[in-house]
Amino acid sequence: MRALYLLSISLLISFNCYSKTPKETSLKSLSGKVAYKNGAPAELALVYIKQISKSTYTDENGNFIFSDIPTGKYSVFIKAYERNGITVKVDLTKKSDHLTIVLENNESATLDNVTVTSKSKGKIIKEKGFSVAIANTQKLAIQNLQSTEILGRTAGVKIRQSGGLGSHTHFNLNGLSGNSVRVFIDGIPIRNYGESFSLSSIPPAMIERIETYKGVLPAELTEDALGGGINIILKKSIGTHLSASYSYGSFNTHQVNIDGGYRNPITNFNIDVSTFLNSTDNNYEVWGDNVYVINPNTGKIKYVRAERFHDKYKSKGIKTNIGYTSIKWADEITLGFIISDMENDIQTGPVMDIVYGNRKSKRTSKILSFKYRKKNIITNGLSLNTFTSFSHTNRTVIDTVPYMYSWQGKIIRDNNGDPVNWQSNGGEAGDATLAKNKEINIANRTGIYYQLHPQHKIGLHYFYNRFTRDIDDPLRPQAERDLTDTRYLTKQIISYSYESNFFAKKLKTNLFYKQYKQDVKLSDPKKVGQEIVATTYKKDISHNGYGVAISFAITPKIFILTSAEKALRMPGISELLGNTSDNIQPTYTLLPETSTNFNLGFLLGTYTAKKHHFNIETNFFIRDIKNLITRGISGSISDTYGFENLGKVKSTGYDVELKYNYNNRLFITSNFSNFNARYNLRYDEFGSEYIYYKDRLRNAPYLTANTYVEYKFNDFIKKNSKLSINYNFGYTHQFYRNWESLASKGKAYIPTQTLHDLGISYTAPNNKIAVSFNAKNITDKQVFDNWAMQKPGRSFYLKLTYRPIF
Amino acid sequence: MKTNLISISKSLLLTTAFVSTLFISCESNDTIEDKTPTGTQEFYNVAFGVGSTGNSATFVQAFPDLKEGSISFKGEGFEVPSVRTARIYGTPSGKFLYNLSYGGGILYKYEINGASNYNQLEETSVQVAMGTAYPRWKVLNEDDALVHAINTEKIYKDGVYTHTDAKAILQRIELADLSLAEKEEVAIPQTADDLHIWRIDNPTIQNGKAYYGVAKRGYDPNTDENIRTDEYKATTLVVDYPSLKNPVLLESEVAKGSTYGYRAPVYHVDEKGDIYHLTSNPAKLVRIKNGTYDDAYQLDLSTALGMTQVGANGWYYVGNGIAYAPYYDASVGSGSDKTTPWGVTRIDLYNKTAVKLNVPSNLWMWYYQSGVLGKDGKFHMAIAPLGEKGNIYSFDPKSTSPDGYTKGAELDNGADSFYIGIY
Repeated sequence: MRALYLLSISLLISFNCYSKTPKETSLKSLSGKVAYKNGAPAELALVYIKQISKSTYTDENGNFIFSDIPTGKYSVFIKAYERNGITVKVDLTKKSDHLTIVLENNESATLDNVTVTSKSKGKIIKEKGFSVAIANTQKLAIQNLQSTEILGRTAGVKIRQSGGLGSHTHFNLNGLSGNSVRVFIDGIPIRNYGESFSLSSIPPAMIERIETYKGVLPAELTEDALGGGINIILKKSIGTHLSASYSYGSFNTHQVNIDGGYRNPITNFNIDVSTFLNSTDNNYEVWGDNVYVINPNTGKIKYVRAERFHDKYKSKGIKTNIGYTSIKWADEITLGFIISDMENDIQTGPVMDIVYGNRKSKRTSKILSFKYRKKNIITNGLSLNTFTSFSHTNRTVIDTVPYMYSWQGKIIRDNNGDPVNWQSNGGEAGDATLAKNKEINIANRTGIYYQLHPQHKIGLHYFYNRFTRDIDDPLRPQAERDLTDTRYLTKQIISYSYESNFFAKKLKTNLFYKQYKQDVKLSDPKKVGQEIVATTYKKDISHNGYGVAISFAITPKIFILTSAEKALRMPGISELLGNTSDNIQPTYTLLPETSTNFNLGFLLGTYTAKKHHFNIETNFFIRDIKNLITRGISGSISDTYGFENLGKVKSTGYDVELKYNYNNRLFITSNFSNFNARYNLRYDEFGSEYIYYKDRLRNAPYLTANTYVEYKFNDFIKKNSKLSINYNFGYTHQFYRNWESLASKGKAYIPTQTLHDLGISYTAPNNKIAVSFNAKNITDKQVFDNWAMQKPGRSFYLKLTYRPIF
Repeated sequence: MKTNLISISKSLLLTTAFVSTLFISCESNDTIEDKTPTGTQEFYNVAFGVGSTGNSATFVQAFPDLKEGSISFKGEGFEVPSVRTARIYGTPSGKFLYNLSYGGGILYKYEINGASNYNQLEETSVQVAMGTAYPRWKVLNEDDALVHAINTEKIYKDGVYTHTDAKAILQRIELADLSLAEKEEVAIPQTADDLHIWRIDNPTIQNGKAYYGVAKRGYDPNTDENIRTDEYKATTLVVDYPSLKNPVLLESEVAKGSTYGYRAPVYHVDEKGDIYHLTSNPAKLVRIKNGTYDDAYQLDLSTALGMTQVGANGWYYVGNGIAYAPYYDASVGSGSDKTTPWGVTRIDLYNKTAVKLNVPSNLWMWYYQSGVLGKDGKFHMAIAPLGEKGNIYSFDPKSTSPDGYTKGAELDNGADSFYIGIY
């Protein structure tokens, strides 16, 4: 690691040496709001600053911001959809400015012939060559949708939840799942935020967009992810705003979200506060093979339709950001604080056959973060951004009642009327427990870029993560509590990137090299006489990876994107050092799982024919995974097992997404994703061929499709009001629980699932009030993401959004 | 005499080596030694397991005979329902197949209709009765099965660990309709060695008693970790049958280590009413006579096979003192290690001899569970070298030759998949 530091320092020095005479540069910001005379905001209006070729679109509230404009005088061109453009002069020589532009209400039919092409943030990332899907959550924020649902509609992404709101969620990206896929919030691994602040609890209104990187992760988003990552970008404040929403629906689900912010356009001081509260009983009906009532005397089974009776979920949180943007010494400096907690009843064991009535868990987390960003720091062309977070999370499992429950929600009683207990020493899932997991996470991500030349930029990215976990259970005897081990993990990743563009930015390349270093440590106390002596087990590993992303604009509307990476995932702490309570033996020799990832994609569009607009995105991919960490065989006396690097998986496939829009009224987004993930290890260590070699991976969906249709009625009843009707269709093809090629009868499978959702939203003319109604799974289909864990059936939600200031 | 013989026959059935002549002998009261035992089953169920770790899948297929042809589970076979793993048993008649879904706690009864066709007749949950979804079980004979689980609890006095209590939950099942019969929760007596019983399995019944194999371990309060050991007297848990009351521990003075069999049968009753059982490592056969260990008898497989140290999980009794057992060379390593060589031996209990049979090398039979005595009087096993194609082996109990077998149907196989037995 010392070598890495030295290298980074020498790079910094070399930047200084080669730089021209330092010049005092200060960046200004220009923010503003575009609205109609009656107060309705102009959404997706183009704002273009000619002199610096910068452009952006207004958000759904009509707001826009340019946060780093060099000092100077500019003319700003603003054009709302199907209106004539206007030009405004601004003077940013002394200080930042805020514009308010009010447009006439009457539509002008003349189409302006200004040929400015602008790209959304999402498209810019795509044009770097990475295969990325962007889910813009803002437009869906007024609907009754969870963030997970929005992400799940993205091509190539399959969300697998084990139940209703708040239930355990995992992601499948092009066939890779589990530890292979890393999730980030603002670029920081989600683990640092604690489970109470996660994609399941954050309302879409707090999220600006979700970027899904398939296979290849850019250098600035460094993690040891084998199959890509999901980056949740939280909303940044643009102007002073206040909004509140409340949603109520089936299963006694309440969701409240209040979001407020103040921004001083002159001093650029800003403060944002947002809060969320989710609460649900999740008492939806379940039925089928795993839902039955057992007669305690005969053991005979009666299949029932039962309501989940112990699945309450409650999460709440508050997020505060205070800071400045566009000041002399910082483009952005923000201090953030998040407090969140959640309580979750646990209804079942790993399958619905095991019913719990009292077990629950609680989590709390506190996160303090600091962000600093500055362009042209020290010298022209050098930019720095750094983000540091410190978090403290607590997880408590409460399981102190051993009574067995039936799916009818009642305690099972014997013939004397006494409760029947689980044979497990006082708890439902094991020993009575009040186990507390205390985790402390420190993370830092720092990126330094230097523009060597207008066409060439180099970057250095450093990621540090330290994680400590302590477990304590007050219900265990003191003698055992004294001997509980403590786990430490330190991960450092350095990546170097080199970005270039050629042929008037038609060809963009991004080369990167990543160094991974991980130290895991376990402190295992032992009693020697009356003393407690801790033995420390350590393992340091270090590896490297590299990749490239290329985009080429054949025409302004046809892009080819390709990317490749040698990606890896380092073995985890339990895999390396074992875990006594889970009977895992240490395996110090484990290698990281590696994958050669390749993507080839096309972006076509937007094509316009009269009022029809459409674009197509497609991506072909290969994931060739080796050294997959798999579980070894357990012995008989010990019943312990270790891990080994054995598995190989090859996944090939494609995603296609078509977006169509007619006259900004009818919107259709349709995607189809098919991957062929096959077990790719032909011979075992003894040279024997696997009978399921080349068989499709077990228990994994591989063919999914989603179609979203929305129709907007403008000026519905009243002028400038908006009504939109939407429909979503989700399809997941049947898949087997075990190897597809084996057996002919009795094969366990998850059946084909078709999910229909309907919604309607109305926004009042002043844009301050929005009401939306959603009906989900309207055909009341039995749906599963995981084998034997049923998800909710038909449900209805009503949401009211009030935005007094926007 | 009659009850005794019925018990004998039940015990024999337990080994799935059904001795039809016993019933004849029971009625006619003839001497039994001269008769050649044979099976009466309609179908042989060949079971195949895929995946050695975590969740494994179990498949079965039923064949009227195993003499020729080839057996493969590619696109063929019945996937036995399971949450984590399936524990299956056949019965002497070969008409039914039973399964315990480990992790869900449901018992299933299937009618065997040949090939991949199994028709579910009954299902019963033992989750409430056992207080766990993870019990173990054993089909004893055509009519009865025992389901069991152990719960251990560490006992502290004034904050200082004293010992671990073990409680057994025992349940009898009537297989006709998979109904719950007697159930008992019994406190297992403490032993002098500071160890505790944490697992019991593979019971057999004889003369109004049920004999369970056990595994013991210790607990180290200085490290908060379990002590894994084989250094204890081989022990049998005995309860009254069918009441399942009055637990007693029998300890052998001549053998040590676990006796629960992992996944294979360990206790058999011969035609004289004596119980023989195996210890796993070093593998020894010892005898329980009249309800107590007969320490005068031992058959050390290491000595009998002329090896340094032999290990074995379970064995199969055919009749007339003849038995077969898969064994491994414990001087090389643990039986769970795939590089440890395995073989199959024919054991003569009465003459205290054992013969290494000329089965293929490169065997790994850690998961092997069941062999079956056929209508032809031969003892059939599904034997495939690790990851390679194998065969049905039909051993002739009358032959003492290492080549005393004929090869039957070919078995398709591959890496990380295993023939776990014929039922």
